[in-house]
Amino acid sequence: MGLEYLFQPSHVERLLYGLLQTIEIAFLSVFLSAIFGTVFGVIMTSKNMLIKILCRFYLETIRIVPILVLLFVFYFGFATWFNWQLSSFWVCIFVFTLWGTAEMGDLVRASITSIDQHQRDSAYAVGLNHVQALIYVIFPQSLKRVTPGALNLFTRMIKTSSLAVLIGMVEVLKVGQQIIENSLLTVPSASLWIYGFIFILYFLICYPLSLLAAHLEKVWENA
Amino acid sequence: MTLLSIQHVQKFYKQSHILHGIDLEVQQGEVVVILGPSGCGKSTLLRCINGLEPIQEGEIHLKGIGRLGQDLPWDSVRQQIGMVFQNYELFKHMNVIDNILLGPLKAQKRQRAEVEQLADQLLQRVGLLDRKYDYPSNLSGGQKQRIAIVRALVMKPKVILLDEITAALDPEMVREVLDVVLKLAQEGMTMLIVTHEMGFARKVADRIIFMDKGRIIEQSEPEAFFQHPQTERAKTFLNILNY
Amino acid sequence: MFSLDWHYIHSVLPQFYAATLMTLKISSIGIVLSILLGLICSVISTYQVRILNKIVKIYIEVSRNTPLLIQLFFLYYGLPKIGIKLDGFTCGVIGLTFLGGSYMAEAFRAGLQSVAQGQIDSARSVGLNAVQVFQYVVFPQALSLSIPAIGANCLFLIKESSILSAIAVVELLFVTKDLIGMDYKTTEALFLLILAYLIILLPVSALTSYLEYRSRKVSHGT
Repeated sequence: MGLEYLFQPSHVERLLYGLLQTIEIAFLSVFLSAIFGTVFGVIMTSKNMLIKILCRFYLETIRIVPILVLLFVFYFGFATWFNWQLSSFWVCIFVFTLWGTAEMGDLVRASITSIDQHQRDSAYAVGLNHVQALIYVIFPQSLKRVTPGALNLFTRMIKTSSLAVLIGMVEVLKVGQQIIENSLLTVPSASLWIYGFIFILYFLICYPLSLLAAHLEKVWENA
Repeated sequence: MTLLSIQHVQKFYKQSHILHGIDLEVQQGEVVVILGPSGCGKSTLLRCINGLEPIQEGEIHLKGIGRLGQDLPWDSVRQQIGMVFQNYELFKHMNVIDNILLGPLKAQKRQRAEVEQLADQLLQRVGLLDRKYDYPSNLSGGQKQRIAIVRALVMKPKVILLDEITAALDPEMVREVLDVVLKLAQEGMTMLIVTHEMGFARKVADRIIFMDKGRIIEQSEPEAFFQHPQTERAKTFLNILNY
Repeated sequence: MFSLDWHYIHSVLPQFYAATLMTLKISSIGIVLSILLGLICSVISTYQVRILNKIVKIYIEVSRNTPLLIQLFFLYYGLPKIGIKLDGFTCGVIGLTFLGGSYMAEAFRAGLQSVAQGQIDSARSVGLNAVQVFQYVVFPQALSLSIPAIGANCLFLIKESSILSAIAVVELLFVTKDLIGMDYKTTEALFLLILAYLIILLPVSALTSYLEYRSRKVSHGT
């Protein structure tokens, strides 16, 4: 039966390798977003009006423009405007990091401001300055509040990285399409099975992450 | 004649035994005040009478109807038994008159003209006719509670249950609400009242019921109860209050 | 680098206009169907209807943990292999509804569960039966509590419609790619693309904020 041909070890291997690319994008993007986002988040707590407006502008722009549109803008834009031929992998990283920084920044800002004023006052009262208070008192507590949101973002990035195939990247969907093309004669219904399989693969990755995020949120709710 | 008859009512909630065999008869036109320490089950008892809480054993009878929940489903029972809550619980998305009309129009299927006329009269009596079209968020606690009472009265119930209706009010507003209840009592409305207002209890009650740990420990006339409590538990309770 | 060919922009405006309408059309249908689906699911899950409850739960988990693109490819390329041929538009609507339904369900569920028990108690105390309690007290309050989330979901679905370009739905992104491929006027095309989305989404975002403000005013009294 054609299904055996379809699910040859080499095919599965290539599909999983493709999935790995997807996860790699998400992982790298989240990592970078975490760093930049934290910085951005701290900046967002500033009282300076101009800074607040600029930050808001950045945040709202990222929220309003669809990710796929951003991918295209930078994929074509970098080439047209700066003559940079960036691979789709790096365009993805760039756009996702822009996205992630904005979201993480907002999460960080929210968690910092939600830390009880008393906690901050106590930190100052024992002689810590702003930066020290931030590092030793506020961050550890913020970490717990940010983590479920960050996990959630990670899961969403994994799903969104499926869009990379549309700017030419060879990730799991592309591999799937290649297998389907090669199998057109032997297994006509390949697309049904392959896409179905990829569908399940995504679910198997994202669902545990969602559960983890929900679990952590419940466990740390009282922190 | 006996209007409401509560027989051997037992209530459990998970592992707790909340009501231990409550027996109570309420006469038509009688005002029964239930007193007792926190957690003694008095609010729960009230909520069992109109079916908001289920009972596991025993029966509750209403004259002319039979066993509540069995001879008549609870939805219909609640048209005959009104309830006013500690937190007023006016429907916050509706204005005053809509709050009052909802039950009569939708549950009792009465004509709007008739109900609105009654509503106007009742609002007039509690002095809030000019607030007819206001939203609950624009009213004070005392005003909301008086509206809640009107909402219960417009259903023309046989009995009204009042569950600590002044507990959430600022002291200045307690009086205006209790005055309304006092007038109702004088007009012969049958009521079961749970309250902490001892002075009020003394004035309005025909009978005092004292509960502790899910049981009725003592019942007597108000003066008898306050001046010569019979049980140790009641004495302690009243002593604490004579600060 | 950033000077725009306004003449070109003017010449392609009709196409962008048509594409904007398509984006709006397919998003609107998707949103309406999602709301219906979400409402049904949330009622089933809040009132714990046996069996259906489990189905809804599975649906929501699957929908939230798989990308729209895969669902679309499956519908558009996969289904024809077992004889079900659906055009891009239909696949798009199904995909958006499938995805949006779970998000709307979550929004409604949160709203339903936020209605205070006291409101339900007092509704029952005036003799209303379960259906009436839902109809006159629980649902109206749940609705205003859900509006911010529903608004956010609408924005989300309009954005997701850009993905439908991958299955040949002639919406904004599809037209943009097409024009870039033909005329190479990248900057102009991207400019119009972003502009179109801003024109669609900024009002929706503002409307949502306004509705949220209004509903908070009404329900914020004790």
